[in-house]
Amino acid sequence: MYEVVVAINIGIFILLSLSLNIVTGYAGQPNIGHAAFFGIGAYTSAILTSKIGFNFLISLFLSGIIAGIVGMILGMISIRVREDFLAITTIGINFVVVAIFRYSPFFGGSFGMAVPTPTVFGIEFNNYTYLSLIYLFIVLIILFLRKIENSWFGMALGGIRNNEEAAESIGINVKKFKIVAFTISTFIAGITGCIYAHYMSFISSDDFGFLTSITILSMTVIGGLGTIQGPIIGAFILGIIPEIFRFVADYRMLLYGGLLVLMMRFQPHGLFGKESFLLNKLVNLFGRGNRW
Amino acid sequence: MILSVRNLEKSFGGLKAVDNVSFDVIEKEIFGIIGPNGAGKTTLFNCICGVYQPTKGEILLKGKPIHNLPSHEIANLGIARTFQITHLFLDMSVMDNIISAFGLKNYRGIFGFFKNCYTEENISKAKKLIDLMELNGLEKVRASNLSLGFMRRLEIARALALEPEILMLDEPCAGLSHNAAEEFIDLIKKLQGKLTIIMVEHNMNVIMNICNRIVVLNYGKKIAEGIPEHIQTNKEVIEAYLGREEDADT
Repeated sequence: MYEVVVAINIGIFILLSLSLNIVTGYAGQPNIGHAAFFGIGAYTSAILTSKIGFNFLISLFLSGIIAGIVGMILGMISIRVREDFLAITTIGINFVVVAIFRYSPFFGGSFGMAVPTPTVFGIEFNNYTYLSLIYLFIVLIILFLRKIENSWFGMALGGIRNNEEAAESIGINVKKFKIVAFTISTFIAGITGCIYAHYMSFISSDDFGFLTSITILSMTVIGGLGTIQGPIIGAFILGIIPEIFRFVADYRMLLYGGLLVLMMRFQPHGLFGKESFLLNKLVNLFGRGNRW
Repeated sequence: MILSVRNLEKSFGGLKAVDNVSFDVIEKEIFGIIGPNGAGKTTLFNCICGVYQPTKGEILLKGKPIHNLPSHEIANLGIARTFQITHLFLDMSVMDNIISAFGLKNYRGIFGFFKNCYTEENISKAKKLIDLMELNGLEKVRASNLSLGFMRRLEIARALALEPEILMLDEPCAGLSHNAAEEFIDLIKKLQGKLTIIMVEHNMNVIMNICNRIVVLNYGKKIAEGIPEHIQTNKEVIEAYLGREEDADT
């Protein structure tokens, strides 16, 4: 059972890292408030299922939609600013969202909210169901990201990441693509939030704070921004270390922060990103197919 | 007349960077914009490309006004550009840089977004441009690892990938050695007659060699327009570049 719990936790962070990767990795727009959208998904589902009595599957979908809509609106507002200013804006968004959850009685205030265990087609969810659901989503998102990498959408995001003026000059509407990337990314975070809420059966605003955002960002950066394997490996490494070395758990943020600084200094592309030392070694060892 | 600039004016605060400039560009010609530093060449260039909105006046592409459109719309209308300081997609390969510009139509509607961009057709089109710009063998190299000369050629290749009617080059020879500039002239001559080229350039050798017509700016105003031979002997142009004779005495 313990392994299952660890696998679920890691799986949730893999989903979050992969979703952050769309905006921060592919499109190059820093988002340091990603946990806000994770929280919006979680609270949406908590309210829909416990207060209104929606079915889990419907609320799963709606959590994604609502997080996506909020993401789209905030995207429209925040893409007016670039780089460091965008980073600061997203931090602000995170704090505001957490404050709304914490201080409004509708969301349970500081007591948090209890979330019912879902029953779908007569089957009550247990840890194995959550595990399968999470890893099913991971596979779907990997397939989706592979699609993005070979599509015009991926090309446009690559252009925006590198040089917005040049992207405009070849006909890419930079604002539109940024908003779409933000929306897709927050949609996935919302769905993840819904699964998380039901799995935990109890949520409070602290779960979706700035520290969670930093955790997601660390995982994505350490694994390798802009790749599929990077966020997965990053989430796995940072998720498993505190489990193996129990004494690390208390100093988790210290570890994440320290690693983030070291990565930025020595391997800005991440451990398994493009041009990374480790990946190049592996590629040289095993060889790799060509696109052309 | 493919492009007409009518009484164009662009001010930044109190400064008129471009002041009442008018000229016409004829189809398939190579048109040069020159002038001393700070003459407003790049500002004029950026107004045509949609980076700046002109304060007054209009720019017509085949009779239709384009001066209020954002740059991605301008690209859609068939005006491609390069930058004074190369703006490549540095972490992408040479091939990806070129293919990215084939998506013009797919970037517009949301339905084209998820179509595969590495189709046989696009790859072979990109290879043709790589041949044309003599970038052979560099397909998989990351753009950031290219030398400046190759970067400029790649930027032109990317602009040509838009299949534009007008290609705009902003100081394409800045920072190139004499030999590289000569090679560049040969490349441009290959394009001569296929599309309209508008270029801003400081290198007189290049300009006089390849341009059909030239407009000269000084302090934002047009001071001369005509074929290279006339420009070279124009008194006002010589004064703008070398100063007046009286000034030299004092």
